[in-house]
Amino acid sequence: MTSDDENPMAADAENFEDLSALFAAQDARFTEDSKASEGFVRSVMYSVRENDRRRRSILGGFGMLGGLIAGAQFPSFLALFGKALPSPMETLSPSVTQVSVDNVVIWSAVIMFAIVMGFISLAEAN
Amino acid sequence: MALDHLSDIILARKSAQKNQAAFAALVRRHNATVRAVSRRLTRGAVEADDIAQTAFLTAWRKIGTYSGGSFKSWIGMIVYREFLQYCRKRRLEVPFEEGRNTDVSDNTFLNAGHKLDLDAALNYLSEPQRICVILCVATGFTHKEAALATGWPLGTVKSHVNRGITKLRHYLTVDDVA
Repeated sequence: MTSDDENPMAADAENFEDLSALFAAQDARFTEDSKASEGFVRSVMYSVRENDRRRRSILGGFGMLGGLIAGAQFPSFLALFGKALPSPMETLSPSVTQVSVDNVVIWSAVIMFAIVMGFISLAEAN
Repeated sequence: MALDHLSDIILARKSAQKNQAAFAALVRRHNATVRAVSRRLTRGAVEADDIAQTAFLTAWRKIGTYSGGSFKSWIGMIVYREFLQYCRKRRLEVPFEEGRNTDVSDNTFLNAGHKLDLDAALNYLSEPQRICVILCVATGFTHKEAALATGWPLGTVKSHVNRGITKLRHYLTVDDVA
């Protein structure tokens, strides 16, 4: 095993340490200008806060919308279970399915949920 | 700044828990390198700082994927991807092969034997050499990391780096001898 195999990073760097040091010295000039450097940091952190705020508002907005839809459906679900509970178990499942299939609002909520999840996945992936 | 003495990995872990102060410490520590790399990749374009800023924003979103090693290389990878996006938007091509060399013999300034500063010397390299030198020499990527970032074969990257540094050394040491 050669020394290159043992530490490939060191092997890569040993040919050009002098140039790397030159680049590093040039990079340091950016930090010497502390005003510009602080301005840049502030600007990045502002974007970070804005990004988080936007993300929270989108999630919160869609969450509230979902909650409202679910809340609006709650009484009808209670009514459904009120009807379904006394009936035998074999008729419960088809009746629940039938209600869901026929109910446009439930389908809208499901589609909306899928869109929101897709949107969030896309936003997080980027 | 109480967090400034902590290591990159600890700051990154805190940032992954949405600690903005920890991330600010990372930005303070690495902004010079990131801005310099961005500026070099774009040849000093006015968008260089925007690319650097977007890179930090992406880093904030993906900080959970940083699992140790050189933070400089990790963020350098993000800067390079942002640079590629910038090229795509402007329909700029990053050539893979050497063919678009800036032929030094055509340049009267260099033929006159003048020394160049680092950035000017970089601009005399072919585009693939310039990118490989920026990634490996200025940013600290290993050859493997540079190959991964550019999608070029490892051997090609090594050859670009070697030729690039040879030329760079030459341009930096040429003196008034012509």
